[in-house]
Amino acid sequence: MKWRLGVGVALLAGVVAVASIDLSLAVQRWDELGPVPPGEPMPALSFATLEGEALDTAALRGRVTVLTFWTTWCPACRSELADVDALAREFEGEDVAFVAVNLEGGQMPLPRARELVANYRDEHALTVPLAIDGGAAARALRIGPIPHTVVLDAAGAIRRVHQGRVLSRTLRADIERLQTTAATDSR
Amino acid sequence: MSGSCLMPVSAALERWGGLLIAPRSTLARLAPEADAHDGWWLGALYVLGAEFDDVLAAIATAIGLGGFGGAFAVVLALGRALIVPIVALAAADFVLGRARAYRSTVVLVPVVLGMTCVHVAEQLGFALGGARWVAVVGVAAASLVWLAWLRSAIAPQPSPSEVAASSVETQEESP
Repeated sequence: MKWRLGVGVALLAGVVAVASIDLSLAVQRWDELGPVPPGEPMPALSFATLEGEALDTAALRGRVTVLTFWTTWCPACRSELADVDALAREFEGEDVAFVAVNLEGGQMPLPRARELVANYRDEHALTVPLAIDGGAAARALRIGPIPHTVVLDAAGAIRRVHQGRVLSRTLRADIERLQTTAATDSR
Repeated sequence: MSGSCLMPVSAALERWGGLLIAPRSTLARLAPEADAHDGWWLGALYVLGAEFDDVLAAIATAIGLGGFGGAFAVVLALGRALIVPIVALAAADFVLGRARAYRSTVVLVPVVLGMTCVHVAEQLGFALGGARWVAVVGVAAASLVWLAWLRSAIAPQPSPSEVAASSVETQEESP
């Protein structure tokens, strides 16, 4: 009987010890868990465009920018990209930039990723600007679940972060709020 | 805490310890309802022992992002964390059959032990990466094989319809 209780206590003690280690490790790097939150400046990053050029995040300053991080195999990304594509057309002519950044460049050679993304663009008739991340953005922004959407203000600061599928109306509200703030600041 | 409050805890620990070192004799003298709440407790222990880092990361995300998205991240992490115990319980029901399924939570004891060991390996620096799923499937499969071996030690319980039928027969036989 004592042996049975002893083994049970050892099991419980082991689980509690493991959980305590997890908690202690998490507390030590709490700020690094989860994605880079709103309020932080956007890290200086460079994406590869399908045309073979580089798109620096610094070049996006001066406009409200929506960056959607996605992959070709993610069903939620497909649905969100369709919304982002429609929003990009809706805000055409305004100081709003949309870039849909594919994350598969970190797992395959860039020419292959370009081909994959170009095929995807043609298949889904996307008009939103597309780019490819070689892995640096995923690490710098600590991207976990996808789609991952980051909304930047005109100064290049992260204002909103959405993990998972975000609704079109939520993104529109984010953009309009930042446009209003920018207009108020400029007066 | 009074001694009466500790009684169910020590009984549960004795039960889980017994299942690990002497499963057949432990099952043989286990009252039918003794492990009624073990599924909840072992599910919580599984999350703490095997997936707590992911849940903590989701909580940090929720605090960082705030709003519905943050809360959703925590719910999603808890759901992901509980997939293995839920699938193991469903498979245990299948392995034991309907008459013995009342003991299906027994499978969670080796699952908790095995997956806590896998997580300890991760904490010690063994980067399992994609192999983690192989370890998860291996632990769950070994636990189900162990349960199948124990199947004969679990007394079958009559289904409610069989109980009802037998009570009708008893009433008919009585004068």
